Amino acid sequence: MRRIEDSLTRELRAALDAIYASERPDRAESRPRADDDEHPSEFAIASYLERRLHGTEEEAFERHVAFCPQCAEELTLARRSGIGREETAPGRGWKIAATLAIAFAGLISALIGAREFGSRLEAAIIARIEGAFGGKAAIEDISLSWAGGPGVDLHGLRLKDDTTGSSDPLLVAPTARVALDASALGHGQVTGTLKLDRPILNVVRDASGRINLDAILPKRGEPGGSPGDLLARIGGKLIEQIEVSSGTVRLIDRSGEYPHELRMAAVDAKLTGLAEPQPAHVEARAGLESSAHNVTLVGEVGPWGGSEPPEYHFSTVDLSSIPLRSLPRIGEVMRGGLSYTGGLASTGESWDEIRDHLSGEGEATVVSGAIAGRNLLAEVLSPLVEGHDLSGGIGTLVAAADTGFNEISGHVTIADTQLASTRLSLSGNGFSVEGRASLGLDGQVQFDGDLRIHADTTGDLLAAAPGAAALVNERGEVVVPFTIAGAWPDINAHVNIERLAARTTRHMLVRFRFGLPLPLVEPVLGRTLFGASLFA
Amino acid sequence: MNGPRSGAGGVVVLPRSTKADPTMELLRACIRGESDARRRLVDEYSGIVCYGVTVIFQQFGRPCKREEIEDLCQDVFLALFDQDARKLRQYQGRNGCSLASWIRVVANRLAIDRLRREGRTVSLDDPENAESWRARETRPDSRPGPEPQLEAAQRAARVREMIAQLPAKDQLFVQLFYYQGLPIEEVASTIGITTNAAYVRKMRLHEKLRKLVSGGSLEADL
Repeated sequence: MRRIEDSLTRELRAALDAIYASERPDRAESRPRADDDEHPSEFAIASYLERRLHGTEEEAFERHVAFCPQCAEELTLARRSGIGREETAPGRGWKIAATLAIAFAGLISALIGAREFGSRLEAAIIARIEGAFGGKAAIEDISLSWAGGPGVDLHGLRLKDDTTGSSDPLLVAPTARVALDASALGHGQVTGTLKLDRPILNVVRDASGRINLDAILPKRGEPGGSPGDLLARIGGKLIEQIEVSSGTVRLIDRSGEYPHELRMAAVDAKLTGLAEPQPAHVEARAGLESSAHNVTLVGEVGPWGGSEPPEYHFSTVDLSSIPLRSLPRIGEVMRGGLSYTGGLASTGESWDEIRDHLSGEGEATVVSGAIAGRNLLAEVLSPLVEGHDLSGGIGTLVAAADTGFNEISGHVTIADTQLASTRLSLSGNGFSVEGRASLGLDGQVQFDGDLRIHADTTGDLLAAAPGAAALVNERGEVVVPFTIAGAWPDINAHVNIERLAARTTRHMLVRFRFGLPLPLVEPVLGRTLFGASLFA
Repeated sequence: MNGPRSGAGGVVVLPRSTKADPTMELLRACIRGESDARRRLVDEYSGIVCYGVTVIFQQFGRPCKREEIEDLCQDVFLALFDQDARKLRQYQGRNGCSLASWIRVVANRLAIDRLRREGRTVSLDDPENAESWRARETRPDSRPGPEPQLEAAQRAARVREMIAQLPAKDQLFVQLFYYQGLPIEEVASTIGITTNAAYVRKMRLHEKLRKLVSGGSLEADL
């Protein structure tokens, strides 16, 4: 309990030791209590802790206890036994770990406090755990264990989901153990580590958008009179660390037209510093739609229970070749393996809040992928090539149903529900794209950049559409500035006439516009005015 | 301080506004000696008393057996009803703590007293015990001499004086944080402020103490 001390604290403590040397509780003689005007009555102590002493009464009480170690100890013990303790319910949010910590810590309190109470102990504890979860919990067996140090083993813990009507329980933990810190026990403190082995967490969003996890999280302002609440309050500081090994998290979304499930397997996680008022440290690795670890998170989460919503700061977010096809929404649009290295932060009390407040930046790449169902390359080139028979590399590119690519890469920033990059590069077979891009959570897409047909493919293009020679640059590439805008899937890809005009030589402009006044407008490369003859 | 508001002859003065309060009605009946009421009080409050006593034993790092806890709980209720419910009459309902909290503090004190008495019970045959005559005879006296003792006493008196200059809540903060060594969040919950406010108070108090130390005559001492 002793902290790292500076010199003033050390000296002050030494002087206080000298002051109280003769008054330490363990040396104090037995003295009369309630009838003794020298020390506060039981009524005063309880009233102080219930915040019912005010003004001079409160001040007199504090001045007395300040110089009476015996009364200070009694006040502390009264506080620790739960008198006047205010409800400090953790904030609502995606906090299954914190909730479990509180519940299990309550269990520990019950076991330690009542381990000699006979054979009815298990039933009593199970009833209390069930009470703490509002009747949602079921435990097959519970036992004290001394192998590998003192601890409590729980078998077959299940939390049922009665929010979304899902047949899957919210949580299944075949085995869980609370390993107690033996050295702390020797000092009368009960602290420990909650270890969950192969737990399965089923997070379900139902058709109306409700998430089942919210139902078991403590709410603010709930009365704390039940035995479950009492134990939870006592146990709130007891679990210092949570370790999860080989866990599974299933994220099941039934809010859309088609249900979607995302699975994280091989979840190994460690949360430390849960008993501190500061945020807890978290390190987690998991396999997103993979049995191998492809997600790593390191950062701080919390604190919970304050007036502000908990915060999430992940200094390390490492995604390695996440299969995009498995992600909801994005998977319908894009394929490939996503990697990301950077940081992320957020705040909020619910899944949606956390998602909407997400911010961060890092390096992102998607390899060996495709934009599904749309050939944006063909759409951009259509004014040039429509009506022509294309062959070779350009023919293959334009005829494809999707926009295939080898790699997309760039430095991305995430803020205000939008992912953006000022310099995003896409490379494919025979072409590349570079420009600035943004993608909103609502599906809004914005891109402004250049399509570059590489020199080795340009020949095929010019063979079919000689007019495109006007767009060939000094490196033999055809460069077409273009823009994509709209909300997916209703997006439009079109040539950026203004930029095209600005970078095209004067004689080419003259050839293009046929006497039309500047600025050039959209039909310059289209069929309306010039048709196929323009590039014939 | 804050003693019971007893009238002549030890008759407790209960607030008039409590006529509809079942807890106060129960208390009155217990004080009148109605056995049903006393039984009901025991039924209703024995749970929290046992729980509180168990927590105190834990805090002292002392394992407890069921029989011991039950004995102690019985002692608590006996103490409440003893001598014409003299103890029970000390509970003041109005504008004060709940009966449950009050009974728990009574139980806590009883348990603490018992554990402290246990702590003072030493075996004279234990050679490791400082109070053992054998230890006293065989070990050199490591206590400081009269002069250092006097200096320490003078310094302690000045620190006491310095702390007494602080506001009451700061004084209690010094006791709980610096002397009892409680974590800051526990100090906060005990004195009734938020953890953030406790950190701010600690910072200011630290500065204040440093100034008092450097500005006063205690500089040489600390």
